[in-house]
Amino acid sequence: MSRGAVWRQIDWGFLALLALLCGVGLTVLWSASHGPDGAVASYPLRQVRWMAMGVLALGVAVSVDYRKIEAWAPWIYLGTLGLLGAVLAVGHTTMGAQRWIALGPLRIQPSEFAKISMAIVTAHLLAREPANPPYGVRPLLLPAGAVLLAAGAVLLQPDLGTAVLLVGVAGAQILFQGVRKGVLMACAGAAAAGLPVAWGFLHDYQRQRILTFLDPERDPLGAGYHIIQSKIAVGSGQLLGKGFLQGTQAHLRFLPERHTDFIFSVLAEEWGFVGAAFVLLLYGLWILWGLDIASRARDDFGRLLAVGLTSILFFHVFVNVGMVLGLLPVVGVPLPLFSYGGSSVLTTFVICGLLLNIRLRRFGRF
Amino acid sequence: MLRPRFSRSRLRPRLVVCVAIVAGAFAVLLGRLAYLQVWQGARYRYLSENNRIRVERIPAPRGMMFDRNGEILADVRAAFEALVVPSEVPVEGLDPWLDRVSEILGMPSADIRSALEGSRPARWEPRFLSRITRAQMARLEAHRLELPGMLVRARPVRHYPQGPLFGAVLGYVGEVSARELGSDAFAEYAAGDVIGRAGVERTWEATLRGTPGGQQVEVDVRGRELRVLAERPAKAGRNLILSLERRLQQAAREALGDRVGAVAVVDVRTGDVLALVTSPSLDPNELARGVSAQRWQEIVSDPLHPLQNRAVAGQYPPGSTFKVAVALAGLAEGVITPRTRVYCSGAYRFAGRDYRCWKKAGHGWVDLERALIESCDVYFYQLGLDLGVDQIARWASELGFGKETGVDLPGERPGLLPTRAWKRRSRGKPWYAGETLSVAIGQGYVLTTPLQMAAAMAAVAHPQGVRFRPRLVTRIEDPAGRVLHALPPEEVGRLPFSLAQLSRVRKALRQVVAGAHGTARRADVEGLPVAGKTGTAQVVKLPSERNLPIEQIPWEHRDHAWFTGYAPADDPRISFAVLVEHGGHGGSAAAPVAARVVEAYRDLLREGLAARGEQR
Repeated sequence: MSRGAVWRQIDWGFLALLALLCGVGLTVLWSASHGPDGAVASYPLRQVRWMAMGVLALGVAVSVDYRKIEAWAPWIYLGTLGLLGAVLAVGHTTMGAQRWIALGPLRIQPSEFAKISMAIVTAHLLAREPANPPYGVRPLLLPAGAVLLAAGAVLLQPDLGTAVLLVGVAGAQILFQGVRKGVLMACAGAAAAGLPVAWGFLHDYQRQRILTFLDPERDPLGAGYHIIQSKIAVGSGQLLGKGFLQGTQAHLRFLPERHTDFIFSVLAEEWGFVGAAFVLLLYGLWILWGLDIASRARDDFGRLLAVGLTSILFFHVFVNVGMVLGLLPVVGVPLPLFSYGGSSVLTTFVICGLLLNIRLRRFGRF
Repeated sequence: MLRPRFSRSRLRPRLVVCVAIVAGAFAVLLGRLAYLQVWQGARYRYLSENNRIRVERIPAPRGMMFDRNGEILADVRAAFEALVVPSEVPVEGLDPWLDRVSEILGMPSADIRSALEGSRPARWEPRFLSRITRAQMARLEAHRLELPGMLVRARPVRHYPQGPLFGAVLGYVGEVSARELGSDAFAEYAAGDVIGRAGVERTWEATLRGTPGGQQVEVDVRGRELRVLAERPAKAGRNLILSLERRLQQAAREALGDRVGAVAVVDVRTGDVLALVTSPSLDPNELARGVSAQRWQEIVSDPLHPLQNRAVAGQYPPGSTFKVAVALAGLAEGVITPRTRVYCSGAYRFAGRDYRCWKKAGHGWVDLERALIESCDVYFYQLGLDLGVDQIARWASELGFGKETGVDLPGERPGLLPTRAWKRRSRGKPWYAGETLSVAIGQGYVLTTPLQMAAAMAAVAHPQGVRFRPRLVTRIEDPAGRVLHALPPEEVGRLPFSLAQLSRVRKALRQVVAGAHGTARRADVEGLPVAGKTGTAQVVKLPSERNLPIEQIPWEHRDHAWFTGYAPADDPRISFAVLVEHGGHGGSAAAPVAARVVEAYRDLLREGLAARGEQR
């Protein structure tokens, strides 16, 4: 196979979509970084640096054959658990939660990378399961145990959002394979029964967020304020928006965390329904493209990995936008390629790299 | 390699479900977006352009504090501050406006001008100008129309009606600092919140603090409030009923006068701290209002440390008051009986050195009772050697020496009971027998605090030798005065001495005050028999000063004076410890202070106030 053939097999459409989302994301971040006095914070520049690093990470993620990655799955799992354990042991505390560990000058957030590594691990465990789907209880024990252990470690940090995401991604992969109806019902029953117990384990601030979501008036100063201000920002954009850099809500600092979790409301305020719907359609296209890659994968592992990675993107977009629009609780999930943040950017690029990897090797020729 | 389990035809239905889920989810988001932006868009546009929503924190009134009879020790008053909304200040006619405001506030107009500058926070947000008095507020209100942009806001501030009397015990409050706000421990606090900085205010912060509320206020573009959109009322903090008795505290404070020292008075039967005086002390009102950096510097560099609560944080050698502990140790250990006699010639020769008794002429033959009454040092040198330092420490620790009493105040110090192991550990040197002689008369390494001393004496006085944890808070009430918790007295131990041993010592302590040769005859109070023990804690002196009369020794080289005891001697109710720094002899400097306290207690008993306080 010649080098040129590999080049042709790269999914340029997918990359173009990625580049478009990055461009729009940076534009909105640029606007969100303007203060009321016109000063611009350094976020956009730093974000560009992260994206450059992301391109490198994407290159690496494409070039290693994903089947080799599957062979590493047990080590990836042990490494993930080790890092999550290290966070609990020596992690740095910010905002009441330990999420970071410092490696020299670098601060890494293992729970971000755990999203990807757990998608790999679950895909591996399901792919090598000898029983045929739909699954009964026994084939699910190992993957479920592996994920719950990692999710438990993340929950202890405590990072409820990521823990739920880990379980959700594994659930999507398992459901994609197929599960017997009885097992499904039993799981639903157990979840319903477990909710009150889980409530007891939640941290105070997490309970507050959920209660505030159900009734924003409860906390007119904190999360309720965020939701109301975010809704005003989004709604005031109307059909066509106020125009680039013209969003009063954002620039007068009404909007909290406007360059991270609430960046979508800046977009909606300045570009209106037209702009926000356009971006949502881009995201939708991106996610469907991921599903298309899953459908073309040459083996079970590749398909399950693609499903898992795509569901990570889907959960992030849906939960973040749902939160900004006041449909879901404020859980602190970033919007891929829009929200400022190195870990989120790198994770997204690695996911895209792995998806391209699966697509590239769909015929088993490289 | 494992072969794929699905053919493309079996895969298709799954993909259809996935696409349907994604499409459904995005349809929900798009629908919501359309609802907010197109359907409700005009309303939100109106809200964002014509109106602003501002969040204001409503401070929670801090819980009040009362003495045991319900007298107010700490409450909350309104303080006023002047604010300015820059966007509302007239651009034309600024100078007369500035002159007027500057004249009313007594603030240079340059300072006001600089407060108006800048765009952060937004120009329609009120900015703080200064604290104002009631009269200034009235003038601002009267000239409201001529002074657009000026706002007056009331804020609850801590107030201590008794002023400096309870200063160090109650502590004071201050605003949370920017640095504290950055740390997790202060997650519940916001800028402008106050927090207990010392004393009961600090220990009981969580109870007193309450929960601040807040409101979302709709304001117009000029920063004027249009209406309250949402409100969460503040919840007042809970009230504390303290064990303190205002009149005892006052008597102790007045008796101490401007001397440096401390007085602790404890209820023998409950551990209630009835009075806790430290001198000098500051007016907590001054600290709660906030002091200038210069004044603060003055306070912290004061060599007398007015912020320190000497009653719990001041560590002093107990002097002869420690002989009570050594006497009980000797009886319990069996190295002496009440009849054991020692000959005092005025000095004790040990290891080639003379250890002197305070009475140069000597006491002659003394038994335990006389040794305590006349505070004979030679008797205790002999007893100390017979016991050894480790045995002294062991028995003294049963009285509570050498560790914190656990009183609900911050910054309590443990004192020190030296042992051989302690000296090896902390000094890296062996114990010398001569040092045991010093310890036996309460000098050398031994350290105690006035409250620890009063608590030890309370245990000696208690009929069954029961020890209680000294405490300041007896009850927690909600803002309406309903009792939430009545805290029971907390027994922490019982003295391991027999009632016969205790009554021997008690009898001697009574004679210290009542006997013809007692060292504290000045502590005698008409109508209420007092028992106690004097002490003089030696302070390092120059050799040339050793034999001078006290008036000729520089103040800071004079000995500390102690008197500790209890009353009534036949049915003990209160115990006390008085320490006068550099006061000289316990009998002359400290005992009269204790007498004034006991007199005040006697008067309370006669009025039935003390009894009523206990019932409440």
